[in-house]
Amino acid sequence: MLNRTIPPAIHDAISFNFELKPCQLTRCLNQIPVYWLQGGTQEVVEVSWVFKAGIWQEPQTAVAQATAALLKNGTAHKSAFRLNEAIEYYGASLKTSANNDFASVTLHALSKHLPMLLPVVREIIAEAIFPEEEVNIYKQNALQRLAVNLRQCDFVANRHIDAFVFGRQHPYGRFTEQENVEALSSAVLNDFHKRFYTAANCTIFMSGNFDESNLELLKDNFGKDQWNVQAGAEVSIPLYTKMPDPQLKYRINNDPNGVQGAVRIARPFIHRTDPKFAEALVMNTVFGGYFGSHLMANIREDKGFTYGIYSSLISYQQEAMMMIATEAGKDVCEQTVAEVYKEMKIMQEQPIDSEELLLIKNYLLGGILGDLEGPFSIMQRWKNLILNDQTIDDFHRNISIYKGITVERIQELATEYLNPEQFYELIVV
Amino acid sequence: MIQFDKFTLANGLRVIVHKDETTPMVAVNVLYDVGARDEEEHRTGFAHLFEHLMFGGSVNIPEYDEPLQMAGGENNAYTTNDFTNYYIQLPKENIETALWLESDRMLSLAFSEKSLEVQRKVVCEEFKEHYINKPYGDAWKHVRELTYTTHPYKWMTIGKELSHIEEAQLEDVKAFFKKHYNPLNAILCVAGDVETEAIKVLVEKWFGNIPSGEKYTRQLPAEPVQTEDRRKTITADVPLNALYKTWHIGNRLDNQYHAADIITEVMGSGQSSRMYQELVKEQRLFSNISCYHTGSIDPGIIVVEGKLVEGVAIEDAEAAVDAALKTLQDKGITEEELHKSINRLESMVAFEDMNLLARANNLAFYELLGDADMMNTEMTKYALVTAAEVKEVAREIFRPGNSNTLHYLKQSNAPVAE
Repeated sequence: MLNRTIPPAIHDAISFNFELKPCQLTRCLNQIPVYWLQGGTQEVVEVSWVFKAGIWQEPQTAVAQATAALLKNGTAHKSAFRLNEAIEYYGASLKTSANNDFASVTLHALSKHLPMLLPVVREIIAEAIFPEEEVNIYKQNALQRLAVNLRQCDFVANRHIDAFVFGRQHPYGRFTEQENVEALSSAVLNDFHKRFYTAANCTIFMSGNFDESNLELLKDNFGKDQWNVQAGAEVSIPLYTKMPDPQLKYRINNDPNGVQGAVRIARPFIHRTDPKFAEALVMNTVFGGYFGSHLMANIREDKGFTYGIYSSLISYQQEAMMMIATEAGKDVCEQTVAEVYKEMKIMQEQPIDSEELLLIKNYLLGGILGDLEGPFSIMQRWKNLILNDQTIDDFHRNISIYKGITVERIQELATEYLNPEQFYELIVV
Repeated sequence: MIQFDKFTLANGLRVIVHKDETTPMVAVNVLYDVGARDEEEHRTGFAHLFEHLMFGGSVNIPEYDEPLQMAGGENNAYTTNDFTNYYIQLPKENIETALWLESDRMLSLAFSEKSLEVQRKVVCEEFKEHYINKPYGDAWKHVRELTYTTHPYKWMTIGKELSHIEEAQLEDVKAFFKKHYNPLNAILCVAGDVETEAIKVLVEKWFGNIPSGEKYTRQLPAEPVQTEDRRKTITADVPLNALYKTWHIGNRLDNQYHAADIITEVMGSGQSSRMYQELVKEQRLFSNISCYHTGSIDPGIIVVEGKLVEGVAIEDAEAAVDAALKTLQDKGITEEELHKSINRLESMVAFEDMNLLARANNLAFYELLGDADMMNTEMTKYALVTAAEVKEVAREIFRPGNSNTLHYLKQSNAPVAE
């Protein structure tokens, strides 16, 4: 008779070996580094062009994101429609985006279509012209999007919490107002594009099921000439210092009819290159980093205040923060905040159970094992290392930290980082 | 080509095994043939609430998540109007943990009063987060109610109203489990570096002695053919006017399904699609627009939705949508547009098939439709669609009398944000 109360024996994920499949580096004639990795069973490929052309680099608010968004909206030879048609005809997608530190152009396509697609991408990246008419449509639609977003408590809360932690003048704390969108012009975007979307500022990542000829084709299109590089033009970027808000607690009333509040509790944090970061990541996972975390167990699974509550470590190029975020019923927001602090105290005052730590390790490592599958997600790991000037040694060091960390160490880290009086606290209804 | 084996246990559980030697993980997917369409009208949102309760412990295992996380696994679930799907991904060495957990909750739940009480609140917060506390959050409630007069697609998966969830009782939960959660109503798919014979032994071990239960026979009221266009206008505290239009199409296995899919590709997919190019870029009537279909198993709908540019009259915006559809009906699509749509679909399938969980999920879904092998024949069906057929199907779908229009307008005295 089968006894269902006895779980099947398991293999602990801490006993597994973790190998990150190597990625190759080729330098083009113009010195652009191309990182590439072959794999996968489907005939598909992902190519990313990454530029240091993020919010950090922009001369005025909203420029980096507008430049990325309008990149494929016209060159000297082709209209936005013809460019999009040239990509979409082959079932490919070309996504352009900018975040705090980087702008990325990412192509997803069937490998067999690369010969038709790469010349178009080259034209887009190197020769975008940002026509006035396109900029005007973008501005109109961006303003409308902003108006809708400003009605949402989570959007408003995210803007403010970043500003509290980094300062309103800092690139990571800056947020877009109507007048910033209105100030955008074709000239400003063209200038930003010419300065930052250049061969000298570009890194390329290619992964998937492709062959040598595809790689050569990529190098032919992007690696021969110094596109957009202007002789003698040194790109100077201002240095920013974070200026956290002196006031820690805020309440904002955004919607008189709101039935939920967005709760954000955040603090500046150590950077991902800090030796303690990997350990802190485990501590954060216990506290609020996964479905079985202390925050979820208490605030969702015991009290039912929210659909979900998570704590995350957010590490940009220059600075990092830790943030607890949730949307909770309007009348239980204050209680939610109090419970978050209560859970911080518990983590500081008593060590977690060793069974719980084993579970966290197995969960974390099982997730990493899953991530080491498939060329795109392996390349994503490499990209995170490369763009942060880290190496495969950092990957292995982190794995051994996840395997070896103790309950005492978790408690020490909680004592160091989970002090309620060091957190900004915000509720937006 | 996705290879798989298929067998059925004596108790009726259908099992699919898909081998992929390249991955250290396995995916275990359990699909139950029950969705929001199987609910009673005065007790909606139940299939989804029930999905939450499936994580509240089963008859022999007090905690579902903990043993799975201990085994290095991750899991989640979702409910649609058609079915409920549970999935796990974990290292292949620990596959038995997944089968142990899934079989025990198929056998019976713990039916804890506390779990029900908490999950009622959690689901109410989910309801508020996505459908109340958000501009246009209730648009789909109105769209469904306007479009479906009879078929249970007239309510959203989350439910018609909060009170239905707040009032759910443990007795209802037990009855729902008995009716829908048994081997006869489930499809199990295991994918990864596994051998079918070994999986057979394990599945027999854990699922073999679960009683079959009773087969639930679905008898839903069919939506009558719509003959008169319907319209509705609502006003709310939103910053922009929005337009929603829907048209009835056939069911998932209908002959016109693939042509209808191509229609939405041509009209609304990507920045070179007709509607984006004409209505957003050239005429500047909408700040965004999309055209898609619901892809549901019972007869679904094509939807066009968009937010209007400030100052544009909604009648003008709607007339432009109608004109674009008129051109489609009169002139059809070009060979080039047809080709482009097929290219897009081919590429979508290739990218989706990269993901192990997606493959496991799709195999189970196509088995629910009748045969897992349809996953391999879908592209052939798209390739057979002709431009002439697309035109014919467009004339059928966009015929007078088949449309529903919702004007979602801002209150004229709406306060200015920030």
